[in-house]
Amino acid sequence: MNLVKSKIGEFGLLGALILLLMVYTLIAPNFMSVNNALNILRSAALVAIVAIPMTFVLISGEIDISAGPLAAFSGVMFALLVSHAGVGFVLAALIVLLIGTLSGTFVGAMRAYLNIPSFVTTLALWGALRGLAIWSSGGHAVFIKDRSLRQTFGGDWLGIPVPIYFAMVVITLFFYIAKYTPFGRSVYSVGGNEASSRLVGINVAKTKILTLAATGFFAALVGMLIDARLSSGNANAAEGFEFDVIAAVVVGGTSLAGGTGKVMGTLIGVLFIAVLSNGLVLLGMNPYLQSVVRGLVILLAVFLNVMVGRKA
Amino acid sequence: MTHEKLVSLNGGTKTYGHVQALRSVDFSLDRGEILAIVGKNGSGKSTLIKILSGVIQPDKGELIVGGETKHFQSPSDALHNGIVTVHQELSVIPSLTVAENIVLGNWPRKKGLTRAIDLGEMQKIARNVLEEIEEAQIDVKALVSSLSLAERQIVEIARALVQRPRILLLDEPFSTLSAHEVEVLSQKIKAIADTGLAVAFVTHRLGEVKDIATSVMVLRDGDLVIKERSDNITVEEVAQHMLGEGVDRPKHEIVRTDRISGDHDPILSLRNFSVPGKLDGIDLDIYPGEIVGIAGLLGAGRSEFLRGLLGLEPASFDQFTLSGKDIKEPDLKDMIKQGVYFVPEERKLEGFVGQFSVMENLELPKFPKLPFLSHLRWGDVRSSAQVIADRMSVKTSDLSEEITNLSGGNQQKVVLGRWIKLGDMKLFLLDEPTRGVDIHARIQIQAVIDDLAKQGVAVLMVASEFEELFDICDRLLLVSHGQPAQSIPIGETSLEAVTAQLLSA
Repeated sequence: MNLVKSKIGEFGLLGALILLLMVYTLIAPNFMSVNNALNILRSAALVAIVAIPMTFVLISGEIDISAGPLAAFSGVMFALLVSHAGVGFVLAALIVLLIGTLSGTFVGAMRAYLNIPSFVTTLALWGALRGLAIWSSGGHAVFIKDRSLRQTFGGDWLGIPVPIYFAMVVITLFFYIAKYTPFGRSVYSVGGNEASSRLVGINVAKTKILTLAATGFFAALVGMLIDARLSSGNANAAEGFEFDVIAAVVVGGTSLAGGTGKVMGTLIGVLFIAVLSNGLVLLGMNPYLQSVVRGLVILLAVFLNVMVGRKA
Repeated sequence: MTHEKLVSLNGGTKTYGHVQALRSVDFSLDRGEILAIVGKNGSGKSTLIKILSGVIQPDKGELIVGGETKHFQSPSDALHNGIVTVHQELSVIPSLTVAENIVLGNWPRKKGLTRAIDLGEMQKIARNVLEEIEEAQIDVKALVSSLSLAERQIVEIARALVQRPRILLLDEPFSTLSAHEVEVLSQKIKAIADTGLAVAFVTHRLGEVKDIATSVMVLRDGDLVIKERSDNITVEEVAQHMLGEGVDRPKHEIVRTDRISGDHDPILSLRNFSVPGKLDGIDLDIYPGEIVGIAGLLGAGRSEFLRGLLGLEPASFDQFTLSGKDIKEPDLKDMIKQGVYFVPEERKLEGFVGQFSVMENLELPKFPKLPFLSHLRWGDVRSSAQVIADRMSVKTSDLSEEITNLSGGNQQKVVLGRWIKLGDMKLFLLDEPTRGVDIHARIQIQAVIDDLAKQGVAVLMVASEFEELFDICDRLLLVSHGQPAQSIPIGETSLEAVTAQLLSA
C-alpha cells in the first residue's frame, strides 16, 4: 500500500496532467494546437517565474501573498521611470528589480528581527502596493512610447513567447539550488526544523530573507514582462496573480507548514492549473463556474497530496 | 492460583516488512503487579506497548482483558477497556492550565442546554486526583508552561489516573527526571499499584527495575527472553539477558588517568557566570582533555548554563574567556567558529531535522561553513557521513533513510556524532547526551566522548542520571539554587554523597 501511495505521489500530478491533456484534446475545441499550447505556456511562464522562488519561501515556513500587487506596482514604476522620468530601459529595470528585492527583504527582516509573520506583512503589502500603484499611475495606464520594449520582450523569440525563456532559466536555477547547494539545503533545513538549524550554525534569518527577496525580485520581473507585452504599466495588472502562484505551489505538493516541497512539483502544478483553466475557457464554461471548478480541483489536489504524504 | 490476570497477550506477533518486531510474545499482568519491561532499542518494547494501547493491531496473538478476548481497533478501544497509556514524549499542552490538561478530552459539562464546560467541577477533579498522588501543591489553575519537566510528567500521570484505569502503561516515565524525582515517582507508582491497578513501565534504567518493580520482563530482538520476579534476579543478570552477549558489567571501564597533562591553559574560564533567575555565579576553569559533569536537580539551571555559554539564554558574568580571548557577548555562530559544539537536550525538538535523511543530518553542520551557492557533491557527502556513522556505530541499512526511522539511541548518535569530524573541536557541550538511549548505545556514546577527551577536547556535560557522570567524568560541578557551585574531583566523592549533598541543599 505504501508503495502504491508513494508512486501516486510521484506520478500522481503528472499523471493527472497527462490525463487532463488527453481529455481536453478530445472534448475542447482547438485545444491541441500550437497556438493554444503557446498561449498556455506564456501565461504559465509568468506564474512559474514567481511560483518557483515562492516554493522556497513556503518550504522555509513562510509565505508571500503580495506577488500580484508587487508585480503591478513594479510595472507602473517601470513605465513611469521610462516614460516620465526619461530613464533608460536598463537602468529602470535595475531600479525596479531592486524595489522588488527590497520589498521581499523587508518582509524577511520583519519576520527575522521583529517576529512578525510573513503572512501579516505581505497582507499589508498586498493592499499598500496596489494602492501605491493606483496612486502613482493616476488611475490610468502609463504608456511606454518607445516601441522597442514591446518588440524585444513583448513578443516571441524564435517563435516562443519571451517569458518562457525566463521561466526556463528560473526553473533550472532553482532546481539546481534546491538539490546541489548548501543554501538550498538550508532552506529545507530551516523549514523542517528551525531550532535544529539554528543550533548547527545555519543563519536562519539570512535564509528566510533571501528566499523572500528572491520572490520579490522575480515578481518585479514579471511586472516588467507584463509591461512589455502591453507596452504600458497598469495598476490593475496581475489581478489574482498571487493566488495563481500559491495555488500552483500547493497543488505541486509543497506543504504550507513548510519543510517539504519540490521545484519540479511546482512546475507541474503551474502547468496543471494553466491547462485546466485554458481548457475550461475553450469549453466555453461560464467564468464564474470556472473559478468554482478551479477551486475544487485545487482542494482535491491538496487532499490527495496530504493522503499520499501520510505514513502507514 | 488466586491471582487475577487483568490483561494478557498470548503469542503476540508483529512484523513490519521483513522485520519481526515482536515474535510470539506472551505478556500478562496481575492485579497489583508492577512490571518493568526492559530491552535494547529495537527489542520490541514500543511495539508491545502500542499493541496493548490499541495504537496498532498484532498480526497474531490473543489479547484477553478481564477474562474476555478483545480486538482493539483504536486507542479508544483500549481506553474503554481500562488500559491507559502515558507515552514517552510528553503530551501536555503548555498553553492550557493543569486542570484543563487533566480533564483533556473528558471535559465535565454543565447540565442543560449549553453543555458548557463546568470549570468548578474540572478544578475539583484535578485537585482530587493530585491529592491522591500527593501532589496537591501543584496549582490546578497554573499554566502548564510554568511547570518544570517533572511536574508536567505528574500532570500527565494525573490525566491518566483520572480515567480510572485498571491497567496503567508508562513508556519511559523516568527518563527526564533526576534521581530524587525518580524516587518520588516510584513511590507514587507503588501507591497506585496498591489500589489494585496493574502497572507496566518501559525503562532503560535498570536501577528502577529492582527498586520499584515486582517483576521484570526482558525483550530482545522481538523475543521474550525472560519474565521473572524482580527479587529473583539481579541487575547484572537482567543486563546480560538484554544484551545477550554475556556482558558482566553494563558499565564501560573508562580510563581517565592519562587524560590531563596539567600544563595547559584552561580552554574556558568563567567568573561569576549567571543566568538571571536560573543560575547563580559560577566560577569554572576547564582544561583541554577534561570531562566535567554538571550535577544538579532539575530546575537548578544546568541546561541554562550550557545555553547561556552560547548566547541562547541571557547571561551575565565578570569574566568569560575562551581559548585566551575574552568574550563580551556570547554568540552561537561565533562559538561554533571557535570550536564550541553543542548537543541539545531534546533531540527531536532541537537536534535533528526530521524530514532529512540520516546522511544529511550527519553532515548538516558542514553546510553553513560552505559558500552559499557552492556545488554539493552528494557522493562526497555520503562517504563523509559514512565515516561518522561507522565511528558512532549508527545502525542503519541505508544512510538515505529518514532519520525518524532510527531508534532513539541511533538518533542520538547522529545528533552527537555530526560534530566529531567537523574539526577544530575545542569544547563539547553536552546536554543529557544519553537520555532515552539504551545501554548498548550509551556505552558507545560514552566511549566516543572519552576518545574525544583523550584527543584534547574539553567536555562539559549535563546528566540527570548521576551514574552516567560517574562513568566518564573527571570531576563534577554541583549546582543548586542559591548556592555557589562546587567542584569535586570524581575520586573524592560517590554517587550517594552527591545525591545526598544536592538533596540537602
